[in-house]
Amino acid sequence: MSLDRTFARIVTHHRLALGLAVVAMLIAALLTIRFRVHFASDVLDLLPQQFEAVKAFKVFDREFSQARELTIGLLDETGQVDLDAFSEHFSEKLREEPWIARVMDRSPLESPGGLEAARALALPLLLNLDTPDFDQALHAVAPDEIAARLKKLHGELEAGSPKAEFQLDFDPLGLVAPALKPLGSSFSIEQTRPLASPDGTLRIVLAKTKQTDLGAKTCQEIMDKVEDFKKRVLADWSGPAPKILVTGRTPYVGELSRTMGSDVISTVVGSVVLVTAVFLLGFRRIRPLFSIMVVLALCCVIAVALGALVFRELNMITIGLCSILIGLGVDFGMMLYAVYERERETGGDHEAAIAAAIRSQGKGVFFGSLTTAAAFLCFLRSQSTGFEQLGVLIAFGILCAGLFMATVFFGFIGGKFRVKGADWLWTGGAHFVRFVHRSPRAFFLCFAALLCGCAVFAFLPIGRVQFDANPRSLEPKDSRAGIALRTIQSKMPIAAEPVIVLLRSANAEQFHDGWAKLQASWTNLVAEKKIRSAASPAALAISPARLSANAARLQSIDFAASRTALTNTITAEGLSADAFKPAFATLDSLKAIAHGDRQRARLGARRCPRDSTWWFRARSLLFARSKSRRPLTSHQITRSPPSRKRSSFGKRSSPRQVPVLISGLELHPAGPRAVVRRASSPSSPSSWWSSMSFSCFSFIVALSRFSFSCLASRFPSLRS
Amino acid sequence: MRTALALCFLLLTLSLRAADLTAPETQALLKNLQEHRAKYPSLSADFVEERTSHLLNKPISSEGNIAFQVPNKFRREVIGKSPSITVSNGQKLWIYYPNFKEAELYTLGQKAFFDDSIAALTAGLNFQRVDQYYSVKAAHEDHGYRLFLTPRGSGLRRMVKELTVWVDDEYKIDRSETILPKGDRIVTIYKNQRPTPLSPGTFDFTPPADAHISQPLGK
Repeated sequence: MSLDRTFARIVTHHRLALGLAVVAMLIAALLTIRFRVHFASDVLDLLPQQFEAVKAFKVFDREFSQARELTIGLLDETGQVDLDAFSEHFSEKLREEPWIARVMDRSPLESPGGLEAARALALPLLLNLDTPDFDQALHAVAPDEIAARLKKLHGELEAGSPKAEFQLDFDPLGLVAPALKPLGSSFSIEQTRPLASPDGTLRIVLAKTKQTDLGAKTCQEIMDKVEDFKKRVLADWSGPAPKILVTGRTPYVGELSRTMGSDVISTVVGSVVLVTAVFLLGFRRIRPLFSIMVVLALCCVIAVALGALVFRELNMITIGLCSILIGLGVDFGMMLYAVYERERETGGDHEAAIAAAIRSQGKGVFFGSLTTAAAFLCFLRSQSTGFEQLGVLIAFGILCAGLFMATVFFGFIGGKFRVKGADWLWTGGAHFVRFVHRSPRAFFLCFAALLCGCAVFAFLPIGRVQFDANPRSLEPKDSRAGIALRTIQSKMPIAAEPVIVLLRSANAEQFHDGWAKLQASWTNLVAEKKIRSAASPAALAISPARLSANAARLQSIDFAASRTALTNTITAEGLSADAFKPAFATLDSLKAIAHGDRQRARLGARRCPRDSTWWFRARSLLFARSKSRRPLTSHQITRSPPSRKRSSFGKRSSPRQVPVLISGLELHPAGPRAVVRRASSPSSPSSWWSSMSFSCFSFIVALSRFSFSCLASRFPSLRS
Repeated sequence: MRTALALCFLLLTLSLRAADLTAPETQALLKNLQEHRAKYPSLSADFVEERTSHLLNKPISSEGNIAFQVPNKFRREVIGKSPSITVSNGQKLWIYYPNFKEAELYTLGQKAFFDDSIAALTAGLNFQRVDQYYSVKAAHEDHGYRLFLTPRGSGLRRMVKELTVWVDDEYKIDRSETILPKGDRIVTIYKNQRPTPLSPGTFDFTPPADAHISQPLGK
């Protein structure tokens, strides 16, 4: 029995078995989707993954603490709002939210508890000083030095010196200031008010959320809480209020995932409506239309399930396959049903009509699905995760569509058939074919002239096609997170997209050495005005070797004598012993470290409360160690003047022996352009990748479709 | 019976001594103070100050004189065994310690928190923009008024917890009491106030050539 008759027989006489098979497939697919698929809405998945710049940006985006940070802009361009007071009100209320870990609305030293936290950080940083600086700092604990310093500061305090009062209170021994000195060169302070715009119309508040994961659902939940908080905080405020802008990874993912979800629904609904309209226009039948839609839905579900088996994670953009699949798959159904209908109109029974449809169109459907699948599989060449997934899913979907339209579809339409009296489409088609057959030359010339006209118009210098390779163009135009980011960047030049440097290192010593070299290199570049500023965690990168060497040097110091000198001076000068407890504690800690207690020299969470704003400063090092699986990876943010080309940044900024990855995005003043570059080949922008990939992709699609077309034309002879 | 009468008399006396002003009355008082300062834009006075610090077991007492000119120029000289000179011309603030031959230079406009602090502290002297920095409550007392100022912003609250200023019926400042966040307290009593014009040179300062100059806020 031929294949078409076999298919027709199964569909006609084994409908129950066919239905059960479909249900089984559907259940298996749904279970696979439920338990295996994890949807991501990361725009970075759409960028070429082979570039180190993209890899680095992904690591930075996902594994560092700012992935959970909200950047909040409080904007008032009317001049009516007391922005300082509102910022304070906003931050206080935000700190009370259970989903917020910490808030930064001013520099760490100005924040509540900031000075105490700085003093706690000082001890490990003191032991991290290089030998000359450490020796010089240690002079301060000599008994004579302690007595002289306290006596002098007391005298200045009596004369009314605020500086002396601060030093007596914060750093009576004179050890904290030299220990914290490297922080000054590591962090960039360009403004008198670092979290406010120069024109005073914008205040920035940074907040770290307690979100457990970075998935789209969690981001949406956090953003729901943000929106609710905004309403409450504005309700609690009397008087004019500023606009509250929120941006960051969480707002972007929350918003994009929601937008993608609604986009998918709207495009699928649009496709269904259009296809329905066309089908009804041509066939004026409901049941086959419903059957086609059911089959296409089945194809979509199975394609996603198969995709989930191939990929660990699917980008939301791949769900765009549904509307593409409806557009492509409906052709197969209509081709087969047109023949089926014609057979039934001429008196054929259900089984014979199915066999005739498969015999007539089956080969076309099979090779059509095969060539289309092959064409979409060419997306595997794109090296963009999102497009790879989209290509594979559509390939699976279209192959399923080819198979199911020739089988399951006929099972759904059933054996009942209503004969139509007249078919204007069929009649019109017959007239058109007769016309073409009667005057083929005239027909060819007319259409050739029309197509030539179109081609000429395409090459005429009318209008302009802009090929935009900026990844930012992938975000929706009216994205609130995007608008917030652009507003903040326009108000605060310092907030412009920085170049991000990730350092790869095998151990803490390499980590320290790498950052020290990079920081030295960047300090020179800033001095030469080749880059505007640089901020790194160099000062917080503890060198185990230095720590051991400096701890050994402490053994030669008589801390008991220092303690006695401190006690005697406090008594002699009439100072309050209670106020100098931290100084005694510092001497005791140094003594303990000298005797081998290295725990006191560790730079970790114990030294700084979890809600301290110092974490925002130190996040590049401290958080990376506590959260990332790559414990010694960190980041550097720096900025170059807009007038200078970024292409040579990698060469100029990084010493050769330091293994770094450089990444970042920037919106140029002249307009958006991508500057995602490969560290080893800085002249490889994403625009080059996109144009080359497009050419390559087009060539492969043409080649594959041509090959399968040749195969299709040779198929009968091969069979014979 | 005698005790009850004494208590009633005491309460009556207290109520007469300190009657809280309503908000409009407070605003009217502030307006009068601002007008008085506009009428007499410069003044000089002698002062006696006692400072209680959490760093010291005993309070520090000092005395000296102060000259002030709206909006933000002032010169404050402390005499005695720990002398100092503090001079601000509105752009630069010098503090010089003759005993140590050391001078501190603070440039206004470098750090917002410092500028805000100076503006807020001078607001307690000239009563201009006092509403911007403080919540003000006032009370009428014997021979004058008491103004109780609470900082509005958290930045200023970290430096000053409360500021109370007593003025007499002629709107001259009698006394001020500043409570600092760690419990420190500064009580200043002003005497011999002279609303006389001051020469521009009063607010200029050049440290001696042998003085060591530091800039705590950076250059």
